[in-house]
Order: sequence, then C-alpha cells, then structure tokens
Amino acid sequence: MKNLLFWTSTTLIFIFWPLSFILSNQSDSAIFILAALVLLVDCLLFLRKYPYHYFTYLVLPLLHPAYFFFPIIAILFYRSDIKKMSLVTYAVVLIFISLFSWKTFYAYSIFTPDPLAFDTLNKKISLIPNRNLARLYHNKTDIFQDKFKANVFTALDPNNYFFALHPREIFENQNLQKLSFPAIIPFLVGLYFLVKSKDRRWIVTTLLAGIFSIALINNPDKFDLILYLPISLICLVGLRNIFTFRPIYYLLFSFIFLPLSVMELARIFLK
Amino acid sequence: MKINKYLPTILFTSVLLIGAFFRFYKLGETPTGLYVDEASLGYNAYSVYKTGMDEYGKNFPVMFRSFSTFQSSIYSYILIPFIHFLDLSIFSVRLPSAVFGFLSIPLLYLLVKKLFPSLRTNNHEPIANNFALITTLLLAISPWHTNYSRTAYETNVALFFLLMGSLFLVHALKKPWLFLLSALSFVISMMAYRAEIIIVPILILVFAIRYSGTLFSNSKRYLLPIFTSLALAMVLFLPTLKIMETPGFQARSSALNIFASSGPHPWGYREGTGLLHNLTNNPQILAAREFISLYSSYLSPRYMFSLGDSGPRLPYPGMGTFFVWQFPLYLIGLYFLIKEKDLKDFKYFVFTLLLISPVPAALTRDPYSTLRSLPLVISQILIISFGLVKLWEILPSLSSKLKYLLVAVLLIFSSVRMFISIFYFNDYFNSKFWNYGWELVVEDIKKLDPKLPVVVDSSRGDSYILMMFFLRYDPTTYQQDNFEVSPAEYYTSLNRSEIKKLGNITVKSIVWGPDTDEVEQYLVADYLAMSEVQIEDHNLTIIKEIPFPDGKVALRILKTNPKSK
Repeated sequence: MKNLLFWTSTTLIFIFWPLSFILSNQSDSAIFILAALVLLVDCLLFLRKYPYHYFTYLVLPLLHPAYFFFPIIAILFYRSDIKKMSLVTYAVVLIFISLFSWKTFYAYSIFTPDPLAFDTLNKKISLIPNRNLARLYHNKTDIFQDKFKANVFTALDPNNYFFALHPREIFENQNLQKLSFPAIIPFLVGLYFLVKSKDRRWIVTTLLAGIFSIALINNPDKFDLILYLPISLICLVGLRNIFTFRPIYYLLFSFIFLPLSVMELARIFLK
Repeated sequence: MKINKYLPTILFTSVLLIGAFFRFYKLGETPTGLYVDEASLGYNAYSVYKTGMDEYGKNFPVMFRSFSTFQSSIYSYILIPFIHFLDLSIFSVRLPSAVFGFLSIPLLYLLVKKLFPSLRTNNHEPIANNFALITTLLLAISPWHTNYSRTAYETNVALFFLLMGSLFLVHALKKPWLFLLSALSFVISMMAYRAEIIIVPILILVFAIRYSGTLFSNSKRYLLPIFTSLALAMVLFLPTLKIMETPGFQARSSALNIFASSGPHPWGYREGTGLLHNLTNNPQILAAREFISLYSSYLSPRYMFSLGDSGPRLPYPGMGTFFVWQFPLYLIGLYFLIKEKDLKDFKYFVFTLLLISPVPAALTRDPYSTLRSLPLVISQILIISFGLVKLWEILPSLSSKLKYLLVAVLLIFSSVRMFISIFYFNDYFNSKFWNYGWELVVEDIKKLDPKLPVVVDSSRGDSYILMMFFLRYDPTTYQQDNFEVSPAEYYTSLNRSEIKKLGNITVKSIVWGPDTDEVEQYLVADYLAMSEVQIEDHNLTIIKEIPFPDGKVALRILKTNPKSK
C-alpha cells in the first residue's frame, strides 16, 4: 500500500511537466526535451560516480546556443574536483563551440538592444538633476540588470511551477502549469530536507546553473524545461521524507495529493 | 569609550531621523495629486468637523460611506484635530499616516527588544546585540512601509495599533492589567482596517496557545484583567459588529472574495461541458487553488524583490517591496529561524505574522496587494534582519570593519535609490494615477466668469470629491443640495446619484450635444474625455490646459460657443 502510494505520487510528479510541455508545444518541443534528457544522463553518471560526467554539459549549447552559459556556470561548482587536464579540454571544447554559437546566443540574450528600455532609461537620467548621481544609479547596465533580475526571480517563483505564474502571468509566455499544485507540499518538504539528501550536490548545481544560464536569455519560456529534473528531484526528496513520517501523515498527504493531481492532469488535456 | 557608550543612542536617533525624512519630507507635494480615497477620507473628516455629519448627512458614522463602498472611520476621526490646526489640505490628510508610520519605527524597536533579548550568549557579536536597531533601520528605509506612510491609507494606522497591541500583550504577562491596553489597541487596529479583523484574533489565539501554561498556572492573577479586556474589546467593537451583516459593509468583500459564489469564474475555469469539465471546474477546488496561488505569491521572492504591487499607485518606479540585496538575507534568515531553538517568543511572533498576514489579502482577487497585507512587512523585515545577523556570524573571516562598511554602503546606496525613485521618478511616471491637476483646476475655476455654469466631467471617476476637497466646499450646503441615501438606509442601500451640485458647478458625465453645443457654459474634463478633434468639432474654446509633469495634457477647461455653432 505504502509503496503503491509512493510510486503513484512519484509518477504523477515526474510525468506532469513533460506532458504539459509536449501538449502545448507539439512541433518544437524536441530540443528542449533532449536538453532535459542530457541532464538526466548526467545525473545518472553523477550518481554512478563517473568522474567525467560534466562533459555531458557540453552537449547543451550544441542542442541550442541559448544554453551556452550552462556548462560555464555548472563547471564552477565542480572545479575543485576536476583535474587540470580535464578542465583545459573542457575549456577548449567550449571555446570551439562558442565560435559558432555565440552569435545565435547573443540574438537570444538579454544583451540585444532594446530601444524602448533605452528611452525610459534616458528619461530617468534626465530627471535626476545631478549628472554624476544619475550615472551612478541609472546607467546602461540597468537594462540588462532589470531583465536578468526579472528572469532569476521568475525562475525562483514557486508560482511559476505550481500555478502557471498566476497571479502575475507573463503576457508573451505560454504560462505553462509545470507541476500539479498539491506538489508544492513535497517541494517545500524537499527543500527543507535537501541538505540531508545524497543527490543534493547535483540538484543544487544543476538548479543554479539552469536558473542563471536561462536568466541571460531574453525570454526563458520553454528553455526553463532544463529545470525539470532538479525541481522534480526536490519534490522526490520531499516525497521520500513524507513517506518516512507516521502513516497518518502520508495517508493524509496521499488522500489530498492523488485525486487533486489527477484532476490537474486532466486539466492539461482540456487546455 | 564615551562614544561607545552613547553609540546605540546616536544610531537610534539617526534611524529615527532617516525614517522621519522619508515619511515627512515634501509630504504634501509628492505623490503629486490626490487619490479619490484620500480625498474622501479628508473631506468626510472635514464635514464631520464642521457639521457632525459626513457628506451624506449621517451623524458620526461607524464606517464612512465612500462612493459605493465603506471606509474605516478611524482615520477620518483621527484626521479631525489635524484639520482643526492645519485646515483641509493634501498635507494635513496625509500627516496622520506619516505620523503613525514614523511612530511604528520606535514601536517596532521596543517590541523586538522584548522578543529578541540581546546578549543571549557570550559569543554573539555586537550586531546581534543591536538586532532591534537593525530591524528599525530596515523599516525606516523600507519602500513598502514608506509608500503607505506617505499616503492616506488606513492600513498604516491599523499596523501601528497592531504593533502596539502586540507590545502590550507580551508585557502583559508580567503586568496583567496591560491586557486592557492591548485589547484597546487591537480593537482600534481591527476598526481601522478590515484585514486586521482576520489577523488580530489569530494572533491572540496563537499567543494564548503559546503562553497557555503561564496563563493557567497563574489563572487567579490573569483572570480578571483578561475578562475585563475582553469585555472592553466587545463593547468597543460592538458597533462595527452590528453593521458587519449589512450589504454596505459586505459590498467590497463580496465583490472581491474568491470564494463568493457570484462574480467571475475562478482562475483556471475551462469552458465546456461533460464529466471531465465538471470534475476540473469544481468551484471549491478552483477557489482553493486560486487562494493558495495568491497566498504563496506573498511569500515569493519574485513579488517581494522584483515585481512589487501591481497597483498603479503603489510601487515606486523601478523598485519592488524590498531591496534586491535583501533576498539572500531573507533566505538565510528563513532557514536559520526555522532551525533556531532558543528564540521561541520571537519565532512564534514572526511566523504567526508571516503566515497569517497574507490570508485576508489572498482571499481577494487582486494579485499581491501590499495594501491588504501590510503587516507582512514587519515579519519579512524581521526575517531579513535575522538573516543579516546570521550572515554576520557565519562570515568570521571578514574583519568587523569591512562588514560594517559593506552594510553601510548597501544601506546608503539603497536609501539614495529610494530617494531618487520617490522624489524624482514617482511624480513623473505615476502622476496620472494620483489625479494630478484637480487642485490647479479649482484655482482656475475661481477665476472664471461666475455667471456661467461649470460642468465637470465625472465619467472616469468620482471627481466631485476632489472638487469638494480642493474647494473646501461648505458641507452644510452640499448636504442640503444633494441627496444620495437617507441616514436610515446608510449601510443598506448602495444607490448612487450620478449628478452632484456644488453651487454653480455640476459634476456629472458630459453629454455630447446638449452639454457641448446648446448651453453657454464651462466644461472641465480630462484628456480622454475631450480630445483635440472633439474640441474642434464642437467649436469649444480652450480656456486652460493643465499638463502632467511629463508634459501631456491632464485636464482641460473649455468654454462652449452655442451661438457661433
């Protein structure tokens, strides 16, 4: 009974986001799903303690240049474990990839010119009487900073994953519901117990690398599927812990979670 | 040595000065203009001061009718002495909010001193001992709290009394008769703003559970003060309780309540029929889902540090409700506070306030309403301050001087950023949401030919209240010339009269043709009501154009020319 409840809950958590994504983006979902699969391969290699697992990150910018910064950020977390030779090889391959992916990355990035934001910035500067003060507080970096900040906080918003960004949906996004809303319970429990999880290093590294790399993209919608695995694994950590509590707790949880998640799953088919 | 002795006092005085500066500087000038709710609070206080009745002729109302909803009476009654000494003006209407906002700073200091005793252990660094000072400093420069302190909103007064009630409550364990003052403060808080009607009882319940052991073991000592306090609270709250069932009181909450059966479909409703649709469109589940989504947004970093409030008047341009650098401190504070085992009183207070403050706001459809969830600013500032203290402790490698310098740079940088946003950007970008220009219109109307009537357009808002406010229109004359509802139906009938007479000024929706072409009169309207093409088509003469700070036309005074037409 306990196992059945656990595995049903796990299945519901893990199938939700890919299913919702495929149903909403039928024609162009392959690249994003492949990117998530690359991370799955990396995760399996990491768990099997394969020392060169991080080389799989280099596949990501090949899939889509917008993922260019993922391997750069992710490797920073493993730098203490990596031998010099491996690091050099990694860097050389990355430089080689950058030769043909940089231009496309730039076109997708927050660094592309934004005339409207530039006009607002100029207006702001003109309103401050002291020119030096104006330059210190409001300069060209504001445009990138604001976009980067907005993207990072969108990726950190629980409502992005459990409530389709409600109540402040982003107009130009598909505002996809990524996980059923009762999954917020195992997610929060998982966050609390993450420090005790043996996968924590991989989860935190992938999550942070994912968040910061897609924050450099003008519109990270769809690209954020790269966060599917770490987010789902955090839910799994929570789920595992819930099922170690007293039976009353996991039975109560299952009683709420299972029917509501099935209903949420039905909703994505009705969209 | 001498400097060290007086340093806390010097720092505390500096914090108060910073808080006072952000709350009082140019209070009557920025935000430029006056929102209709502020005008309503101000004019009704003026009317009660002059006649003992509000604009509708109701004697000393328990709640003030404000257009088709009701406002708390506390703010308007508090305003009366301010109007007596300073007359009716933007400054005098906002002053009580600024005063209570400012007084909340030392009040928080006293509360935190009580809940977070300094020198708990010997290994704590000086910054932990000055925890109360840090929280008050962060409140003094909080964009969220400053915003509500600079505008006439009842929620700010309610927060002050909520803090006051909490302070007396924690002191009442040693001096039981302070329960009486606590009850008084809590009732004023509940009467001042509706959200507190939900927050205060839960806060008291958690307090009772937390200290049930102490209260029961000394029941003889506490029984009489507690019952006297409860009786006092009931007596004071009874008038509000009596009108809570009326349609007037419920008008706003039933329109906004996500659990209401009437009104729009809940978020996530899918059109269609069939078993699957019926299953997924279950209204209770959809409403619960929407409630949780709204609730979680109040604790989400995206709203706190990036988006801020979605209301047009509320966020200062380019700012969230907190500064971005406070985000890691929020996470650190939250983590360590959950783990903390010593500071139980502090933890109870912070988490109770953190978890219950979003409830009233999340019951309404508005996304991330900082107005309805204002008490949250206190708990979140306490968490951020705790995060700062913990970070200070876990960064031993940096020298104390360097850490102080880093914190000082962040605080100065943030304060200047907020200064720029409040005093340079807000009026330029947001003046249209603050009804900019009506004060100037009133000055110009006084110079017009008094023989000709004036029609003021009200198709896009209740401009009559702004006219009355800036004209300081005689309340007795207004009550005689206008009728909207009888005092007996004050709380029950939501009927509204569309036309208001203020002497030779009529406030109503302008009717094209009869008002523009047939009578010789002056017209006052905003830029949307009277475009250049319409002015030309109807042969109107522009008497005066009042521009927004960005140069675009805000309001126009025009004269009709029926003969030439």
